[in-house]
Amino acid sequence: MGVMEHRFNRLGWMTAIAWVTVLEGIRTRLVGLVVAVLGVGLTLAFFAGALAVMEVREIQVAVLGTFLRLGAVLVMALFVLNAQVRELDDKGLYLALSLPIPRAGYFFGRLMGFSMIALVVALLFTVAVLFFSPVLQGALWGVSLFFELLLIVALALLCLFTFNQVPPAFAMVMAVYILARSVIALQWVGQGPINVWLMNRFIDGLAFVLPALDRFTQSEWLVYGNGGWQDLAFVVAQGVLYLALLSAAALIDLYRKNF
Amino acid sequence: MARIFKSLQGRDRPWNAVPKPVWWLALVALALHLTLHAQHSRPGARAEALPVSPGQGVLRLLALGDPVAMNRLAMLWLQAFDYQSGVSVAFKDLDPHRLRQWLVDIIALDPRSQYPLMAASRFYADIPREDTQRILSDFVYEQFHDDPNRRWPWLGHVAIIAKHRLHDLPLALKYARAIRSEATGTAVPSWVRQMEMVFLEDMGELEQARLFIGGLLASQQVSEPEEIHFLNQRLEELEAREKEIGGKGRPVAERE
Repeated sequence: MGVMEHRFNRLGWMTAIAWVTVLEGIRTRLVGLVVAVLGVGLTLAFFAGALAVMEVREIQVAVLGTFLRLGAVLVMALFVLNAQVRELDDKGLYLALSLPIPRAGYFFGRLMGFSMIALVVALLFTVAVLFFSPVLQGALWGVSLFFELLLIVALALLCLFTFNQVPPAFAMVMAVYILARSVIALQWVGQGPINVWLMNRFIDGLAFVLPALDRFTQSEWLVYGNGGWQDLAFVVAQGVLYLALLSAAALIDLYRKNF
Repeated sequence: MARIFKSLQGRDRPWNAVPKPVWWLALVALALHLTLHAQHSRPGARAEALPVSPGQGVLRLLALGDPVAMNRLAMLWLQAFDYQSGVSVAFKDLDPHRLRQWLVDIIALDPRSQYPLMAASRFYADIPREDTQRILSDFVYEQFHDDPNRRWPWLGHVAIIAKHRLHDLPLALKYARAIRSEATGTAVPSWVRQMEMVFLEDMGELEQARLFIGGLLASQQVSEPEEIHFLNQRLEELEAREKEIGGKGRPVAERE
């Protein structure tokens, strides 16, 4: 009974930390920013559609999807980094760690809170995309965006635990994100005339370690409607596995930290 | 909205808390900025500014793993060099080789997109400059082979350009032959396959035109009774014309 009660308390603390994180999102007017990104994305999509002579819907949905995907990643990365820096500056982290919960409980509470915000962002953006794409393909895009944002949240937490400051942490998050999305293109370029063995092996190594984000949240699904269950299965499997890896790395950093 | 405004008001000090020199600085800076911009002429499309394509590798890198979206964005960007109102006349100065390379690289990002081919055949091949028309027509012909059943409309369009703008009937015939032999899908309308016959007639190759119709009927590519009737009628007309001119299938130019 005592063990059960102890576990319940831990879960209660985690939920409380998650809820505080969500409140932080609401009170820092994150919703307003997300709606602004959505508005700009829709305006850009209609503008691009007005320029196009053919494939108007395809161009609109490709522009909207690309903009919202990048916008969501930037908004979430900056929000997580800022929120976590504030947590350090306001000594909220110290307060949380003084409570009878393990560091992992604090980490997963924060992760849960940020994930709920990521879910709302992904839902809002998916609704916008659905105006231009088939329902199932839009839903697949939305699920994929949610998993992509989960990885960004975990990566941002890890980078902030490592660097403690926003500029280097943000630079690292963006570097990893851009590499993860373009490493396949790098491999493709490496097979061309500038074939350097050592460089190619290095790029192969990067592709092996990084998550295959080029297979996430693809405009292709919205434009051609060719996303399927295999894509969904890959996104979920890759998302869960890499989230576990990033969480483990962040926990190693958090447990080793001397406050 | 009102709540946000109220909370902003409550949080900040009143406007008059800002020192007057700061207001003056802001106003003068704004006025100078607007003056500077008023001096600038409106940006126009610059045909000579079309840079060399960075290549498929760089475009793929810039796509960040999303080549389908990059294809659309790059195409809209390229189109901006041509498709701005009031300046299209200047685009005869576009370097056709660079243009072709851009289109090759863009279509490689997403071969399913028809936009680059539409732009090549409708915008650029229409530029009143022979080398541009030939280079872009050749681009369409080259790309057609990769997906004939979807790309035939663009080759059909450049075949017409070859006939009416370039006055190069052998080239038009080459394009029409490619359509007839490769675009064999059921969605391809019969008149497209018959373009070859029209060009042969225009070239005065009556016997070849007759053989073409006979071959088309024998190949069973034509199934609609109306179409069979039409082709038979054309066959009879051709035979009558051949008898009339007496020279069996001799080209008009030769007879003259």
